[in-house]
Amino acid sequence: MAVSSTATGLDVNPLMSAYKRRRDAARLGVGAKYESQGFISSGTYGKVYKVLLLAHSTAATRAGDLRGEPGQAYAVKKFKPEKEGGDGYTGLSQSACREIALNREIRHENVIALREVILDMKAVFMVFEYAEHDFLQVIHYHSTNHPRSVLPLGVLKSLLYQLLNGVAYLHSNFIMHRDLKPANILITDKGVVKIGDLGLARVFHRPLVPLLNGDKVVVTIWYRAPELLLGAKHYTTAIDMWAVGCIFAELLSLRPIFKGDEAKMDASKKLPFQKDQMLKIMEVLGVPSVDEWPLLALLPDYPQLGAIERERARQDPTKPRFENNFGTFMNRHMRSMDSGRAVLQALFTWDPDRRLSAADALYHPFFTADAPMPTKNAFAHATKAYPPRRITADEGGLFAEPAAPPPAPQTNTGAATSQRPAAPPAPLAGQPQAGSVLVGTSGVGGAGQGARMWSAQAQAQRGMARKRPRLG
Amino acid sequence: MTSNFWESSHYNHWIIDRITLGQSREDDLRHATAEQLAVINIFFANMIARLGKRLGIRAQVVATAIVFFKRFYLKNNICETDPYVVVPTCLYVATKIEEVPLHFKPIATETKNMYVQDYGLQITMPDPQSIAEMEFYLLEDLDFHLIVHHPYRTLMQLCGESNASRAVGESEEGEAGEAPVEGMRFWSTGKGTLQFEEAARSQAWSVHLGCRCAIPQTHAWNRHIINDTLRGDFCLLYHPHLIGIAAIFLTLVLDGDSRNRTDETEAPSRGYATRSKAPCDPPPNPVDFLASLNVSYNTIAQIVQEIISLWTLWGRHLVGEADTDRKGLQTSRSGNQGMSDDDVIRKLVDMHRARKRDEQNGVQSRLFEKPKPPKPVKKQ
Repeated sequence: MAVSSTATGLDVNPLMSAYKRRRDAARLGVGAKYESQGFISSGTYGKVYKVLLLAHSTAATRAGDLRGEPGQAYAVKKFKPEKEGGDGYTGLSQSACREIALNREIRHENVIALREVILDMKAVFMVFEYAEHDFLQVIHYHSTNHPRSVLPLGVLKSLLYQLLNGVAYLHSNFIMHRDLKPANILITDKGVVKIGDLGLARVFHRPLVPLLNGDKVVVTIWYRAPELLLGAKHYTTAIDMWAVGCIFAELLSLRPIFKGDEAKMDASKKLPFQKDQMLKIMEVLGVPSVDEWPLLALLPDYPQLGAIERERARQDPTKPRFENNFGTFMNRHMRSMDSGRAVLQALFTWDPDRRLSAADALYHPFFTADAPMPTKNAFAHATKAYPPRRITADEGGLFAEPAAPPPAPQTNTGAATSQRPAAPPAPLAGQPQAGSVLVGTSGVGGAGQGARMWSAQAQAQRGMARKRPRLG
Repeated sequence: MTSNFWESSHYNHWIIDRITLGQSREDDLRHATAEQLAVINIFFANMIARLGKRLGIRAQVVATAIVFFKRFYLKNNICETDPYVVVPTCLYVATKIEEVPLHFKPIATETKNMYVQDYGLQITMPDPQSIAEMEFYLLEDLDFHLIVHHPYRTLMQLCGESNASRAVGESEEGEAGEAPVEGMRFWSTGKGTLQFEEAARSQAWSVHLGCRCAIPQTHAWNRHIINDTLRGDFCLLYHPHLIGIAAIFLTLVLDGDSRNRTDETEAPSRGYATRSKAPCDPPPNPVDFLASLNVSYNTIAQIVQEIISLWTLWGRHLVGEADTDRKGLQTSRSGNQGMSDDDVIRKLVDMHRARKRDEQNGVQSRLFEKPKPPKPVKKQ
């Protein structure tokens, strides 16, 4: 039977329209439960707002929801309704589905907790516990505030330990995060690390299809492991551990250790070899050898390493070879951290099979024997108070009905975070984003730059943050 | 949790008792007998499997979709909703959760083709929009609990990786970091796995299943038993590993030869982790092996009983199967007294009409919010 073109969806079905009415009537919208405090950040997935829980909504709505306290702060992640034009439903994105499915199952002190999920105004709202700080913000605070100061060792060690604790939990549950980076690792005002943003995460136990078939690009470029850069079809939790190593190094030196430029996808739609990123790694760690990484020569882009080396020899005949400069880095930043050096070195093991695992790292003497010991409140050793997250005016975004945006280009469902247009057009020095390579269409300031950032600094860099006194 | 069943939403929120299950069907039972409802359940599980087959979707994804469907109808009445919309939506969500995403448009197209070609349905076809819209409502009624534990995993652990994975998942590529899962340490000794010999046999099986086609492998049998359990309410009532063990038990019972030829091998040091299994000393003794598992054999016996009841029920009726050509099935069963697909379709129309009459007469359906499933005891 043909369906008229004007009315579609459940409303044309008398049975389902009654069902729908019943459900709609029983539901409390996000605006009925929370009071908006303002806007935190935006990204390709949608927007994040700070809210306070209203006193009448403290009870759990459905099985598995968390109780709340009146006035408790939460971060609401509003997923953009993915539109194909018109105002219909277009299905929940794969990354939203993942994030909901995984967050509903996991509970750990060092992973951000999901209070509830609300469907309202054809959009999905995920209500997470609120975290006042994040790694990027802490790094930024130390690197910009005058005088520039390093993180106190106790703070650094506690942050790292708690991060590893959360990663170990995820890995023991067969979850790969696949987008660990400072902006995604939050810290509460009590100094507890909370791993956030599981939008790229997935369960890797017995996948039905190879991991590569799902998401072509994982992990933000600066934190991407060498096996991914060299085109490995199969990868493991070791990719998260490489990212942890990069984060460790960034906490030490206050800047990304391997800050490569991302190669954009060309017209052929073939994934480009991320040459500059690989180069940046080799400038610090030298050239990987088959001795230390037996499967190296089997990786698809292994021949590219030779090309990088030859190019180097051509360009700089005085220093024709890549040296291992890692010792210099560690001498500069880890003067009194002998066991810490071992941890960082083990995280930067070329061979993913021999790279330090999160579970093993937790038992390293760096954390278990050498003072200062990690603390439950990571800020216990802090010498200064980190500023609270900057919240900007809401502009009615959270509770507003979705305005009809320009139709988004529809791409294949394979790419996780990449199929949406770039949020801000301004070129900026924010962090790159996992998956952004797939959208390299618009040149400067292209897709995903700085998106997905939770940090206030990112907003400031973007020049769109308007400071507003904090409420409550 | 995704690996520890005892921490999962499946265990904590979606294992219910029979009373709760009965309560959830009170409204539908006003318009259909319990047996008719059971046949309707088989009918829709078959339908999801058939749609999955048309779309080339793997068994595990289909299983997840069927569990979604059953959970949805714990909170809703068949007589008050349109299951023909719920079916494709369950499959749509399941493809995303199992990481083999499909767009809802091809699903809508294939659903329509199936409804017309396989079932001769004359209904308002669910358009893509209604599937996309229904997804929201389905997610909500599932309480956003989307990760489902299946008995297949138990099978793979207890029957040895290589054998079982061949039967269950065909090619299993790209997996990493094997380790015991599903809270196995609570009920398994962790020692040894059952090795079924993969010999072709069929006779006993087809007798037991009435019209079922020959199934060549013992492991395939296990799998088929598990797939069969999806036609009943097992996934709502029992823990997946118990269903898996019941399936193994039934295979051993029904297939006497395989019992004699079963090997027990000791898995090397780190348990189930390795693929290369060193065949070890102890002589084949599946009875001891099953007895060594820390599970209640009362419950296993109950599950086995219910599986046999399900087969008996299924055998009485003519509802089609995804695996079988429908026409062939119909003719081979002609003369049977039970309900056919067409009967089920007519029954559904009747139920919807009857419910509408009730509604006009002011009879409230009792199911607006289902009673909360009671928290089950830790072990069965």
